Amino acid sequence: MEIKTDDYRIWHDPDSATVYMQGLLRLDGMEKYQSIMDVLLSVVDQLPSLTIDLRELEFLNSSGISMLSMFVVKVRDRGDVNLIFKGSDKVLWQTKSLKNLQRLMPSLVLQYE
Amino acid sequence: MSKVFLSEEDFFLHGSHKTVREDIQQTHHEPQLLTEVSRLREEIERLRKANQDLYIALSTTAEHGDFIEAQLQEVNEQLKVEVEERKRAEATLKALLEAISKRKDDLEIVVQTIMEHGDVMDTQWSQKVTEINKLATLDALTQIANRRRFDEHLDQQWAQMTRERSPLALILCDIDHFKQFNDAYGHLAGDDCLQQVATVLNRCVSRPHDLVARFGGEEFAAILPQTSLEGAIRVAERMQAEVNQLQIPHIDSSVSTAVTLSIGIACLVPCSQSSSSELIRLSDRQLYLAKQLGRNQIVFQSASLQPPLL
Repeated sequence: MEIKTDDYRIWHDPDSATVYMQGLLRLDGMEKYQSIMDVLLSVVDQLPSLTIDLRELEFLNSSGISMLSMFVVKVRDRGDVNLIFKGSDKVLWQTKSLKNLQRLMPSLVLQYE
Repeated sequence: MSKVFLSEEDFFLHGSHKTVREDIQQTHHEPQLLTEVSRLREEIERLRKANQDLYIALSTTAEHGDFIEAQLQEVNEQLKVEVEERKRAEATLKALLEAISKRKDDLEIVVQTIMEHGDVMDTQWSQKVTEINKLATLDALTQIANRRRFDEHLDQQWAQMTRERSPLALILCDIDHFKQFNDAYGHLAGDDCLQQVATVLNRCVSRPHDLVARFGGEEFAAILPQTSLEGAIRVAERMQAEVNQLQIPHIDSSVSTAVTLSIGIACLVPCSQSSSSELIRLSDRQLYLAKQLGRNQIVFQSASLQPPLL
């Protein structure tokens, strides 16, 4: 399962139960993010634990962080999924915004590398 | 439900009846007796009617009581049902309120996340733009201004000095026999030499609009706005002295055992009929002369676009 454009690449590695996001995500509005949300939801439906690797996601606009927020709320409401976000302490937005997502889902695990 | 067990006969005044009959026998012969009997009969009749009225009133009251009791019972049952329904509605509302409250909390966090994310992305973009601008104007090897930044700054200062009718000086420096230095010590040593020379040259200017740049290869330039030829010569002499103090060995130099500079200086008051390339041309000419005259020296010229500067 993969979404790839000139700006970004998103794919699922079943072996590591990880969804990777790379590049610059600057889609215009929440509707444009629906396909990515669908990928995340379909993956998380099959797994008790999911890692989302954002380390190489350099830019994410406001609609993108909104989509991630909604995804976290849906996973939290399911109640039986271990969710892990991998971030980079060299990417400024990841050091700030991911902590707020943890407020939505206190059991969310943040790993910085 | 209550019952009325009283019969109409219960209300006859038996005792009073018997007493009246005895009274008649005892007073048979007395005329007043008849009157009394008649009065008593009327009294009996009145009492009977009163008795009947009381019976009816009591029956009515009893029946009314039963009816009211039944109604109360019914209302009580309805109230019990309503209380249960209200309790259920209250529980539903409480659950709904909790869900709405949770959703509200979520939305507040999401809104805050989006706002803070927007701010941090602005900062990130801004840092990126600053970094790119810096890279676009900085020489990668020496970390001083590159040729692009030099051209941009020279044009700006040319325009500014034209407006102010102030002198603009340009120093061009060239490391003497740099090709031979590279051949003797290698290109890595050559890069190191360029870095050291660039650092000391950059240290020799301090005013906000002064700029030292790598002009190309082993050539460096210093733009000095609002500076007379004398001032520019003093800066050039400081540059020469600082490079001399580095004492970078140069075995293949014809003029010294260490790295030296040839320097050309031009100074003029710019005018709108000419361009900044004129100042470069003049400085370059002085640099050429410095090399021709044996290197490791400063040659200068005051140009004639405007009245004499010295």
